[in-house]
Amino acid sequence: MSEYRVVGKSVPRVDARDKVAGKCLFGADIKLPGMLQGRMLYSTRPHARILNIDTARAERLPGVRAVITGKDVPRRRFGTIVQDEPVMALDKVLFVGDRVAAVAADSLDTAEEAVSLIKVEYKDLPSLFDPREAMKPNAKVIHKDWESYGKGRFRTISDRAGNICGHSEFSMGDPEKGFSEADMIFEDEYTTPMVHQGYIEPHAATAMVEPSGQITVWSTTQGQFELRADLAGLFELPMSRIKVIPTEIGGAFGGKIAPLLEPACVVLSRMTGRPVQMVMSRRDEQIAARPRHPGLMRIKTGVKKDGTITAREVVIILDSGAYADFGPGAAYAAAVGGRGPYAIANARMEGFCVYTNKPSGGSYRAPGGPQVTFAIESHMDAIAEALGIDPLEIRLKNGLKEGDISYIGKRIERGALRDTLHRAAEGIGWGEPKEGPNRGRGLASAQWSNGGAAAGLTVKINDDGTASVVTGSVDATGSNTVIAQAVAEELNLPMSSIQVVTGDTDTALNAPLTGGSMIAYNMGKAAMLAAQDTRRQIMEVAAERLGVEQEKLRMENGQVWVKGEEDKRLSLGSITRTAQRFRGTLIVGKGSLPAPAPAFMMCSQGAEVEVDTQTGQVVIHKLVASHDVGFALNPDSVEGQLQGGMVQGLGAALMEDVRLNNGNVENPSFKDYKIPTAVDFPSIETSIVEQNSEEGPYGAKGVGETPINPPAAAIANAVYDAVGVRITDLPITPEKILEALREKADT
Amino acid sequence: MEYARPATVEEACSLLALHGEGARVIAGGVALSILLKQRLVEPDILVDIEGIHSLRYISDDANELRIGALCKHREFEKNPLVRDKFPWLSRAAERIGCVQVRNAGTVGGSLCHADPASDLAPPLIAAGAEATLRNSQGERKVLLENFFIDYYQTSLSEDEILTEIRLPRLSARTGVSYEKYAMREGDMATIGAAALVTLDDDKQRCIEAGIVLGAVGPTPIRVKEAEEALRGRAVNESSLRKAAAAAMEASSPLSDSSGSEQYKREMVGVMTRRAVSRALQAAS
Ligand SMILES: Cc1cc2nc3c(=O)[nH]c(=O)nc-3n(C[C@H](O)[C@H](O)[C@H](O)COP(=O)(O)OP(=O)(O)OC[C@H]3O[C@@H](n4cnc5c(N)ncnc54)[C@H](O)[C@@H]3O)c2cc1C
Repeated sequence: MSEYRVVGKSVPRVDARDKVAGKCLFGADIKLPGMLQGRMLYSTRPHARILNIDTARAERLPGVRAVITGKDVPRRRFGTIVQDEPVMALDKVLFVGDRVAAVAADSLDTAEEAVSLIKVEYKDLPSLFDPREAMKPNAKVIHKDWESYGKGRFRTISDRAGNICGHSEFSMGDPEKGFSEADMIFEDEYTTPMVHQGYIEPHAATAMVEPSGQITVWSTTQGQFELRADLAGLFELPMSRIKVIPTEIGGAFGGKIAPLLEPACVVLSRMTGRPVQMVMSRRDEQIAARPRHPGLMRIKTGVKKDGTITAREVVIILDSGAYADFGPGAAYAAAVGGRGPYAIANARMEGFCVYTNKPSGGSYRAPGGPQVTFAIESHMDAIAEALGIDPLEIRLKNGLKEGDISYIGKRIERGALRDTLHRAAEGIGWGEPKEGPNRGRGLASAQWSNGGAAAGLTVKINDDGTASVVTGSVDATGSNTVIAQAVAEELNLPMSSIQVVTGDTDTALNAPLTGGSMIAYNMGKAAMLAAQDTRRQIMEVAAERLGVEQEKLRMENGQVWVKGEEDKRLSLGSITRTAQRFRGTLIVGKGSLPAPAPAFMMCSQGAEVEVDTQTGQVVIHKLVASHDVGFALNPDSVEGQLQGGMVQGLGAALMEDVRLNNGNVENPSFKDYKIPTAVDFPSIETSIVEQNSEEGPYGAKGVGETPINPPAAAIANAVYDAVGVRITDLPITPEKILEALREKADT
Repeated sequence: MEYARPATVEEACSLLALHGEGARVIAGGVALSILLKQRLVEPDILVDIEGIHSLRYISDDANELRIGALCKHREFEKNPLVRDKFPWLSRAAERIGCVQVRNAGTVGGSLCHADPASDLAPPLIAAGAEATLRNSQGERKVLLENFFIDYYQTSLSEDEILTEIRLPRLSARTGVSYEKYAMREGDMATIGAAALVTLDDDKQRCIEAGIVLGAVGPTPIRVKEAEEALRGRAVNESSLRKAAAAAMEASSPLSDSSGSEQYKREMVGVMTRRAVSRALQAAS
């Protein structure tokens, strides 16, 4: 593999030093002269008509500069898929956490006090909290004007009706026939709760509106171009009137895409003539951000006695909450992936996303994936158990292999599921004796695909021979490092000679938002192409200056020389300077590509647990992950993504649960909303499989999302193996295990 | 808000006497800084006692353990004397939060904060610890068992500081242990259960018992009924069952994200049994 010099190597992240030294500026670090602090007033009712909002007392409070309500904001709605969400509630609130009013004041304290002085009169309306109720034909429609809502920028194959804001359906082969050919049919139901991304940095936005009307926004967004488009649409302005500057991002995982704060900041800045900043508190985050949708999965599988799957039917119902956001996309992804990483010729999959009066879900790392994977992979083990087949065997038997069609419709040329399964099984000690009682091992596999998006960026050679890259992608995962690696590789330069800058909407070329495992795959490719273009330009100038054919030249370490005549050499700095001075040529490489086909990624994970049968507590002894990443551009970074994804997945498996009571979040803090910390898990062994993709840079595939899909099922399967109880409703709490153990003892 | 950093106990006490209820002692600040940030307390003056070096010691005096109030959790978790003679106390300290919390938090702070979920209070009470309180007038001693009054309330007066915790010498054939149940490593206890067991000469019967629960009521709870179930009897399945049942009965846990009330009560029983069994082992 090491035909490469820089890519494929674990070079340190380019942002590591600044992050560790505390030099990076995050959203809330933006400080502008005269800046005001804003606070949002959120609805306290799950579903109510707003009769009156009295802001008089808030406005009279010294230090308050502006108070706004739905009357003061654009009446247009926004939304990634369905444009259903108002900037501020217009006449109704749809969940506890809906934006009702906002204040800008000289200090945060004053803004907070002002918010508490706003009096809202509500008339409560009946609420819908269960998507199964909300999707019934006779249910009260939460969005009365749903038919008039426009389409967002993200197109997904789904339709909608009333409270169903997304419905996708797929069918292949002949499911009826498949089920009739089965020896046995298994049906199960699984549920997963609302879980939060738990990023450490809360949403933060700062807006400054110039007297000319020009708008600048600093935001923790995952995609400055999408945010600009959203704002331009809402304020009915040409895009050029708005500049969005993405700040460093302290974790996002899909949660920082919707414009939750920015429109209100813009309106407040317009009214006051001063910059306005809003930073969400942790409580705001837990009640009013964009967590993962609760899911209900019904799964039915027909199998032959030998474990061969003959047919499958999956229905996924996602609880969208008040708005659609990315929900229809998540329901689509869950449905389209409903067969799992298996070759199943006859299948029917259906995904619903349904409005309720709860916090709106959004995108959370592999939207739709963790829910459906928990169902599929728990179900696979339940089938294996009933048939008396080893869980590894049933997966190997049905797993996608060469010649099969992956769920994204691509024929699999090499590798497939098998390799990852073998490695995960070996890593976890599958089949080996266990160290003690109540110990168990579990496996779970998954398939996912990354997005293919049009991408582009530029590379310029500086006067000192170093290269600067301006990318429009936000670095949430180490993507600027792999961009630098691709450029260093192609220009044969050391990493220390490459600077990567994340540009704003004016300085950078359009780039996809950071999500869908897209950046390394698409922007990494753009970087590779841009560097190749740069290299061509350098060679052209050098050949002219040295008076030889380009083929005779060699470039390394910032120097170009004539092969065999080592003293005939030029530095990149000199080439750049003279090119500009004497030829009028700027050495600027451009790399762009039309949206490539998505790649598909297989993975398998294993867990070994021990269950305390008196308390129900689960101790995790070992975790392994084996993933096909195409080509590991930076193995350490890949390992970090795998481990991080698994830990998030394990949080959802064992403890995470945004608990709602009548639409109110009962645990809106990190004290009560528990996420795992470094001491809760053992180290995670990773094993990287490299089945090169056709279109990704150097054969790479997306990495970011896949690892969060299998952990919950791997744990559930290990718990079953340990003590013989199957928990079908996440999280797998000690209490649920104890109850299940008791039921088992009773029967 | 003013800030003072006295160097002696006398100075600290006179500041407290001077400012009355407007003054607030701060030690490691681990607990108090949260309350300050949330504006749950808004003192006129913070009296930072961390500069009083004379309150930072661990000493062994005729097998009595004396712990200065400013001793850090991490210090006595690692202290060789404590590890050797009071290993159960070292183990209880090990379970407090994370290393950062243990490096900053003090024994006195943990007790005076009076969070019923403190990991130190139950084992210290079970072992009969006594607290020394000082004000400008002088000092008084209270049994730690009587120190806690309600959630976050102690019998400290405004002008007093806690200076020392004294653990009496444990009689022979005595074992102490502390069990903590938390949903997540590093969390405050959902349930804490401490037990002390002293066996008779033949190691057949329990002649002295102490059972104290943490986190399942407004203060640490000493469960006399559970102690009686053990005292004067052999520690066996029947007496363990009785002790556990008494502990469950005495607890009043609340449902929250760590579990339902019912589940937690059941865990009180499990933790009590485990604590007694381990204390018994240590005593034998
Ligand atoms: C993240 C986190 C996790 C934690 N986990 C645990 C845990 O697992 N187990 C556990 O037991 N605790 C835990 N705690 C609590 C913490 O250990 C104690 O609250 C801490 O030890 C308090 O000590 P301190 O010196 O920082 O007290 P401070 O915060 O300085 O003071 C706390 C209170 O005590 C008063 N006070 C302090 N010292 C004295 C004194 N000598 N005389 C009179 N009054 C005094 C102060 O006025 C204040 O009211 C945790 C805390 C945090 C923040």
